[in-house]
Amino acid sequence: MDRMKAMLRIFWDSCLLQSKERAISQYFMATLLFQPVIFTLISVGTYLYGRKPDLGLFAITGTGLISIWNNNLWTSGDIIYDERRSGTLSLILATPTAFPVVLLGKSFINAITSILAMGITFATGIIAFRLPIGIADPVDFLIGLVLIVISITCLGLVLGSLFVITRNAGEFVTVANFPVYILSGLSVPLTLLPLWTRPFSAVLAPTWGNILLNQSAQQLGGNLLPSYLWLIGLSIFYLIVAGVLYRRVEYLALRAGSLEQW
Amino acid sequence: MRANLRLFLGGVRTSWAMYLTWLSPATYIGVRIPRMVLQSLFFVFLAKAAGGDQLARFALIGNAVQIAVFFVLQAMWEVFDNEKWNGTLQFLLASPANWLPMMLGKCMASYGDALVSTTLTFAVLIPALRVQIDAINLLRAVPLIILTIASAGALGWLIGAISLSIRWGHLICNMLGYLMIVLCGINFPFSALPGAVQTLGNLLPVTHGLLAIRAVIDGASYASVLPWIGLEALVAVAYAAIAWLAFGQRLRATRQKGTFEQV
Repeated sequence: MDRMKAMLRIFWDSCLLQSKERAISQYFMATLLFQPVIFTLISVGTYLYGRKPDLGLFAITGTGLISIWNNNLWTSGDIIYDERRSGTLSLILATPTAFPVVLLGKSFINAITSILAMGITFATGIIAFRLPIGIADPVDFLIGLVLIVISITCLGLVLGSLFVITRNAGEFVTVANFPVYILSGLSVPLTLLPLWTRPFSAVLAPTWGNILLNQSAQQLGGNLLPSYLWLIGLSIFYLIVAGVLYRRVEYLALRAGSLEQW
Repeated sequence: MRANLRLFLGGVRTSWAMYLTWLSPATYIGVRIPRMVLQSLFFVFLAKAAGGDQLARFALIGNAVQIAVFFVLQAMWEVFDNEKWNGTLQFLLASPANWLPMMLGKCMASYGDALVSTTLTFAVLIPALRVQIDAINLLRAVPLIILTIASAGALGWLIGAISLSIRWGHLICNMLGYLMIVLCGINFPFSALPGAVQTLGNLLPVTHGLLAIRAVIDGASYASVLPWIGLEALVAVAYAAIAWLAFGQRLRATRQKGTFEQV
């Protein structure tokens, strides 16, 4: 019980520290506030020019997810990078507290704030394009959004574990963004992609999040349950992978007695 | 003249050396090429979903140029910013030499990299997406692509000159790079934008250059696109002149007050 309470305290403190750091980060605030506006203008503008206003809502949810993904992926890389630069990464790894608890707290607060980006994309669609935004099932939409955030946070943990043993997290993030947008069908229909890409799409949480949000907005038909199950299943899968990876990374770091070689 | 040429060549050597340090072959192949191709691919797919093959072709040309613009904006800002972070700004201040040729030289590797980026994007995406673009016409458009990249570079210089003290340069370049996709007619035609937005786009680099590039790729003669070339060159000269004045003024003010730490 005491151990659980201690872990919750560390989780909460990590959330608090990260929110303070992010509140004064120009780059985070810009990614959170301006990028959704710009991407909405590009994607909805392109669909409206192509005389497909019915895909406006699809473009908006896709852009919202792009922003949520961006904030999570960037920050997962950033958290490790910042700890490394501050000289605190080794200290955190050496403490008895499991590093994933700290990382989870920090990633979680980023994920929560990134939900704001979804609101900004909707606001941009309404103000700039006067799109009639109607979510058929707002409750399902909100539940879906929460599940996506949790799932993407878990995926952030997988990446975060890997970022401990590389200094090139920033470069990796730069490259990883656009394939994920494409493979997850964010603002771009999956039907444009060749069939062999489907397995890659299936293991990405944003794919199912996108389907789920579009189903609850009734842009897509079908039962919501499979999408819910996929998101929950993928979150568990990511957590298991993150756990295995973290143990391996921790072993490598402890064996080397230093993080300097990575 | 000879001294200026020597300064310019010194700048070129420095920029090449810095590039080799920053972009190793592994980074270039593993990070840079996938980034440029995949970013363009995303926007081309978006256009294809919205307007079919015709709009996809339009977006491919736009994004192949835009990716170079994106890189060159960042690189030109960095040319100024690096002086500060490398601790060489005070030497630039103290030196009696003309800073312009040396700074121009320091941009050359970035211009080359931008041109290679456009070339690679075209080389990968044209066959991959089976887009019909005449190779000869594409080659004819190369001088216009260089002009457009140089013009975007002038905007990068301006951002570099004015953001030295506010330290938001990277952010401004990043956001502006994406915003230009809307304002400069990258993914859909410039003429489809509302009037007020077109006015803004007209004041930016790339807009007129891209109109000329598209026309030449579609077979138009240089004579027929001369007004667009003239406007793009005019915009480039205007931004470069303002950047030159802004940076020169900052150097003068810093020299007078002796406060280069605040730059």
